[in-house]
Amino acid sequence: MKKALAYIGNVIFSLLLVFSIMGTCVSVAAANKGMNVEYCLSLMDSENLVEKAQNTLKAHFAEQENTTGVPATMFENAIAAEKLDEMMEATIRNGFDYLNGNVETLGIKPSFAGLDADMRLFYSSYADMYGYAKDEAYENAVDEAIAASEQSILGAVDVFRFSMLDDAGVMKKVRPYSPWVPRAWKGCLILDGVLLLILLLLNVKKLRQIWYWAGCSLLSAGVILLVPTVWLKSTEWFDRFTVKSEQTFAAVTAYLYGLTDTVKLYAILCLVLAVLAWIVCGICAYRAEKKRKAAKKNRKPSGENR
Amino acid sequence: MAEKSKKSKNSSQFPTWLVTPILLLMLSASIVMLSYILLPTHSVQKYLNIAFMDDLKTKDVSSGLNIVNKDISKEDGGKGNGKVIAPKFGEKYAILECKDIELEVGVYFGSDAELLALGACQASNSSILGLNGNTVISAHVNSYFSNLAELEEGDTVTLYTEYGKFTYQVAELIRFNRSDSTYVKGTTSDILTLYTCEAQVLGNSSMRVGAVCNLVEKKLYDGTETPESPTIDPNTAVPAVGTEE
Repeated sequence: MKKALAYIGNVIFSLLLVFSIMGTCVSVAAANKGMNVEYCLSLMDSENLVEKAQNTLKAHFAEQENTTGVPATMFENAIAAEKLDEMMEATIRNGFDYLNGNVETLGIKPSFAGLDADMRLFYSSYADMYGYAKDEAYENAVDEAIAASEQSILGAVDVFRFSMLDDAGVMKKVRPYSPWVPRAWKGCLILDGVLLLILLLLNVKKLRQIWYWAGCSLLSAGVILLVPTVWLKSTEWFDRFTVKSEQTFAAVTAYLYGLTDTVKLYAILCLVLAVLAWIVCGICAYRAEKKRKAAKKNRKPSGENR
Repeated sequence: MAEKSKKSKNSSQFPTWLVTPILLLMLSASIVMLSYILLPTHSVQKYLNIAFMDDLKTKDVSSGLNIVNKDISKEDGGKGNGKVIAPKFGEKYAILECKDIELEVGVYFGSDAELLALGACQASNSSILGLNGNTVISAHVNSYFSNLAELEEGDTVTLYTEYGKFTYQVAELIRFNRSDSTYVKGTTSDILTLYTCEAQVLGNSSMRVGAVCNLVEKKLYDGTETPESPTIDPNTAVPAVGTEE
């Protein structure tokens, strides 16, 4: 009866340890990659996001030329690679700062002074050529056109669509919790320690069994984390992402696949640790058995019954 | 004797040590599955379904969009067997025709700069033709919807798909700011909302013009009843993904 109760106790706390280990893996991945601005910035280079944003903008303004009459060449300076690089980095940093509560407003306000001046000059010449009255309606139309162009540029460099997420209310929902993400793994690690201590106390008479139960928990955590990550990668599930603008698609899918790869790595690490734990348990059991046999051999001459 | 009983005890413990990791794995997996079923993840699931709904992907696609151009017939006897066939993102799934303004254009499912260059686009979070709700279709004013502003109340708009023909009548002419989602939200009534940018001499306009049309005839190609589709809930307004036209 005692052994049955001990076994059930071990199963229960090992089960809790499974979820604690999974929590640790996921929270470490979230802290190192998910909420890490440097990781997102590294994607700018690895995925050529600036070049993709520039191509999108060039195509957009070329297409708009028919409607607006504004030549696409007017935007060349405003969408130069260096400027887009600066704006993209600033947007990503601002997005994470906003999420972490370091700033109160989302969005950057870069200077478009050059573009502003060029467009006003163009529209002024256009109005003079066609005798268009430069009244309040004209000024409003020009302001709107300039604002729309600036919005197009800012939209293109917002590769993680922070503004869209904010409009949908997602940023506000996540904001209270995101500062806790870098700390969550510490809490999970402490919980891991507490549960291991409880397992230790449950197996105080045969300490080697702690390795066995830890191995069982690591195996379960590793398998449960590994299966979905392998499925996501093998089916290329994130490629189903419906926002198809080149730079956003590349940024978001690379970010998600990177996160998946990290969780997969931790899952494999859990499986390796599980095997190692069982090997240690096996070695301890073998040594204990050897000791027992040696002790029995030493006892034999005096204590043997015939 | 004592040794024999210890050996038999060890051999009976062995299966337990072997079975326990499997038992623990099954228990943990069951708890994870139960949590997924019982926890209120429906709203998250809905957003995930919309955000990752493009399953036309093939390995060769680089930027992400896989465009499928289908030949849609305006004649009866298409596919469908009386059922609505949910289109995939990037798929041409209808032809929109309005003889009153000499308009005929292909309709793609999903709103994206690349698709808007090919034809009219249906917002992917709007109701699929044939299902209850608001079907929202837009196109560029300088191309496919250049004469949309000529629509008048009472004009007939017809949409042909592989599985049915849907006839609407213009009920209301509309003009709204692009930030106003009143006309692009889901509805309980079966309507069609068409819109495009308001043409302006100088630059882009923030205003949109179009029409709201009521369904007057729904014909599925073998006359059977339309089943409910679980794919999109027409009664919920969800921000559309994609670009402005």
